[in-house]
Amino acid sequence: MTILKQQFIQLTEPWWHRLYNIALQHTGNAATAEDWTQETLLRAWKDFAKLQERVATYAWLLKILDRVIIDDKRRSSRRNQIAPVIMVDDEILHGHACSTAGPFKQMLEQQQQGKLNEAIQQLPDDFRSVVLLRDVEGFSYKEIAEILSVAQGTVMSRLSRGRRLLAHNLLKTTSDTKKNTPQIDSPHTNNQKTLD
Amino acid sequence: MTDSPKNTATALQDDKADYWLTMHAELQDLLAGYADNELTAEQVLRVEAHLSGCVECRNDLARQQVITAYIADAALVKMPLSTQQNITQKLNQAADFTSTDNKPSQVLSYLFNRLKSLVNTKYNGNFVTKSGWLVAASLFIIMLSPWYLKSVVSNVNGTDLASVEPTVSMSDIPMIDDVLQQYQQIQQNSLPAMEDNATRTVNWQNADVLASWTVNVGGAPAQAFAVRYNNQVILQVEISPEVFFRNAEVRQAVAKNGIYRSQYNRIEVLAMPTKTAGIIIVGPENRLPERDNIIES
Repeated sequence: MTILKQQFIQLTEPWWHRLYNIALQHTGNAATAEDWTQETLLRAWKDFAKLQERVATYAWLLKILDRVIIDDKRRSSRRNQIAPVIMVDDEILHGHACSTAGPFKQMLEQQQQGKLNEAIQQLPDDFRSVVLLRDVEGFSYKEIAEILSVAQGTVMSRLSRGRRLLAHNLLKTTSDTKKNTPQIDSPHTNNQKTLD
Repeated sequence: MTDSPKNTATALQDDKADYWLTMHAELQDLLAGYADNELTAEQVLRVEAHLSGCVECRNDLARQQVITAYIADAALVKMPLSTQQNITQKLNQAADFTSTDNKPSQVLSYLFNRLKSLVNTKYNGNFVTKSGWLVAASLFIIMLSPWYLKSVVSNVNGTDLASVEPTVSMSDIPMIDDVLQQYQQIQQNSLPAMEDNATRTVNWQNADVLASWTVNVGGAPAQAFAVRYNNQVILQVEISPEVFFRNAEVRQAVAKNGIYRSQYNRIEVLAMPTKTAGIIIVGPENRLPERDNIIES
């Protein structure tokens, strides 16, 4: 093995587990996650000798993983294209008994293990990418924008909509959709206070 | 026809309502930014003004924060061993680059590292003594000769990863074992190439950083430093507090004495928490810096 390859493995090996974890969160399927991780590292190796400047290793690997996933989905036409826009006053988000912070948290904790992962996998690809990069890996919006080659504003709106859709889908699958009393505070009710 | 006061008041109210609805629609996309502290000061003011009057958005914000915390807390799934082995095999098989692709500086740094390890072996663990440098200089000149360079570049025989024997475990505590293994590696092999200009969060007198690289400790990436201290090479590793405090024995020692210490085969380990990280220092026994001399940068 050449020195260059040894250096490449030394540089990337600490990140293999995390890369695999992200791939698995995207697909839910271990074999696909392995394929994607492998392909990412092989492409990274091809690029390595040409790397002119020092890069943040993990961000670089994630950028390649993003392309690997897009290419794979394009080939198999398995893309989640539809990105429904759910507003905060959506019926389920508005009316569900578990829609406020405390009950929502409790509902999440009581869910079957893997339910949240399933819900993440069912998100549209664009939403899922930003949610994983931010909430699993903790990258800043600037870093996510660089990894995904989009504007920071796009990262923010995708995150808002992605997390909202996640909440919506999780609440939808939970039983008990007791309606709340009419909401106060909007200008339509002329500031008449009602009891919650 | 003139506008009656009643008409004007209604019109104003309608305008207000329209404005509110427009804000309400626009600001929903900013809620993630507010939850994540990624907004400008001006955006924060606008969002907060809206939140004070909109329970839907307040609920949405709260749900986002719950989701974030929940996802962030979820355990990392480790790559199965079989996957690791498959990937390693594929990388081993992947085409190497020919000698013309190697930049001269990489060859030279490799040679220098070979040199250091040769001198290391000869002088029984002391890194480089005064006479050692003379030997090093003469070896370096030999190594620069054309025939040697050519043989190095075209016949480098590194270790095939797939055939590496698993090493003997030295400590029951995974992170301590990882650090001890890494220490042994830097004693036996050349130091890894300097990766980036990472700075240590603790320091002590007479310390010089020789190399810095990322390493796997306790299943998570950690920053490693090879530090020359009084003619010894000491390994310093900085890990996240989450990994550092995972083990009960380490937690108890730190709670009791502020520090965890152990020894393995005349190698000493010292582990201590700082405000932002866990620090593990490894070196020959009785040669580590005193705890009181280790200062947070």
